[in-house]
Amino acid sequence: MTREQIFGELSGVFEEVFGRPVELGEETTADDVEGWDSVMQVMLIVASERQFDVRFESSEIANAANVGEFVTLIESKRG
Amino acid sequence: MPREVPLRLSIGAEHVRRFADASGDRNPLHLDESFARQTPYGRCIVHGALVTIAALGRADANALACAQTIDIQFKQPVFPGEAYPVTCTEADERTRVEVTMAGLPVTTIAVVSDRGAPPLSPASQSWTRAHPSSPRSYGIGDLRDEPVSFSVPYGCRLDLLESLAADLGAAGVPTGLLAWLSAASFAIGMLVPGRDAVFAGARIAPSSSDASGTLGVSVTTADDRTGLVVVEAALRHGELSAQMTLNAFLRPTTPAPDRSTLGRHLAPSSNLAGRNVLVIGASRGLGAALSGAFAMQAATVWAAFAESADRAGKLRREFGAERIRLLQFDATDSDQSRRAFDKVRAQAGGLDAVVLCAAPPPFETALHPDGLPAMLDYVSASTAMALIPLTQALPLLSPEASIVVMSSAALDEVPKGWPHYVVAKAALEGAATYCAHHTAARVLVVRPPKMWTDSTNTPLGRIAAVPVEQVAAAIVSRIAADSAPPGLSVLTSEQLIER
Repeated sequence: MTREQIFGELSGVFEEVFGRPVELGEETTADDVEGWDSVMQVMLIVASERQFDVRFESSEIANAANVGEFVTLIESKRG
Repeated sequence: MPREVPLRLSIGAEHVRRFADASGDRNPLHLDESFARQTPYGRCIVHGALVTIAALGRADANALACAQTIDIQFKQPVFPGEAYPVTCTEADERTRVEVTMAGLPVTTIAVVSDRGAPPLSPASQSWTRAHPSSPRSYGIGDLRDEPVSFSVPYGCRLDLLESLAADLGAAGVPTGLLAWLSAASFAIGMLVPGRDAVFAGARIAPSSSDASGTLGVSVTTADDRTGLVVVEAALRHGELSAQMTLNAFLRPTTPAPDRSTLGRHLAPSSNLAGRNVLVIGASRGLGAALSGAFAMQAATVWAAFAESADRAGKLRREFGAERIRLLQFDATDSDQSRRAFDKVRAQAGGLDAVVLCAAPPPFETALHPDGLPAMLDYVSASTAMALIPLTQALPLLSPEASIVVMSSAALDEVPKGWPHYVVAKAALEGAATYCAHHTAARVLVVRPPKMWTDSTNTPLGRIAAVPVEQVAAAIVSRIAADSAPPGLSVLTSEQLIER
């Protein structure tokens, strides 16, 4: 799966969790998206795990600085 | 054109009791102060479903009457008796209602309507079923390991819900919607996860069923790292039927420190034999770990606590009645504090250390005019919990006694949502500096990192939290070493963790 494909599927995950389309870029952070708080972070993580068939460690759940880093993490998990 | 209606809602404890009666959701987080005190909120909170009803009272009743989906997110607790601004924006078939505090979202509700669709059911007869008086209780392991899916008879008192909604200015909320929210609240608070649930959000859509008065629940996600539980629920009752996806967090019990968990960080010794140490806030969290750690060094610990007698009793049983002397009083009450210290003076003569560990539970807020009353109350309560017992302790302190002031690593890495906490801890450090200059005591300021306590027992709060035993061991070792000169010293977060 290419990085672009991961971004595309991740957009679907964000839309499902937030109930609306969310514009995502490499540098997008929680501060850029209205409503992206700690509860939504957990929902995004769990939905992403289901979408990409990966599992994150507890320490990884709160740590990704932006969407680009999160995509890199998914890439590394998928190997 | 979008329509914005700025208003406030305020829901009293009596409204909460009425909603519990009408819906059957008697979860103790809403009704039992002693239970709620041991949660991150520190006191009872309003049912999220009741907040939703009151907030929807600000929306256009015609839009609600033909609702096709309702999305709700409960982001912060609503406390009884406090006033919260509500904004309502309506455009096309979409209605968005937001409850805020200090400019931060507390509850957000998005309703999608279809004005061409038949309206939701008008007022119906109540259909009631006997509700259990106490909730079921699941652990995250129960839900993760075994599929949980069942159905129960369910009914609610629509007449009571309608009069409650009217009293909250929400008479325009359709009866069907009241039934859905009532059932959603019951499903999470009483069925699954039940007792230790925190309702986080819901997506509700009307459905149809010939069945009468059942509520089915099925767990589809149970995440053991964060406690997230997703429940698919179906209310089946003719034209009031609805399909719901409900999100909740399951709050695990905060572990109580014992000899075994403390022993991993601190070997038992008699280094503090004959010393009298008074710990304020001793029944739970770091205070309990400190009391146990001092007891394991053979000190006599005067364990002061306000409310959690069950936890305090457990502490004494674990570390021995000969080491732990319980003192129950409210540290913010001058008269109660004076009487408690009179008892210490009579029985111990004096004190070799006083540890100021009590603090009110923090909450998310912002530097905002609406947040100031709660912020000032917090700083006042936090300061009183330290200064009232400190002033009583000063005359009892032996030469070169220790005063331990619990600050926080939040003064180094400042969390955005906790301005009140940072101000309160800075005030305590100010008091410590004063004592270092104008008393003979050794004053130790401690800046612990995030620990797993009742106050941080949230989905992300537990992640990367340090055990209270580790922090307690570092503090007690420093006191036992007896090497610090009179004056002020600071134990930083890094020093506490590196041991």
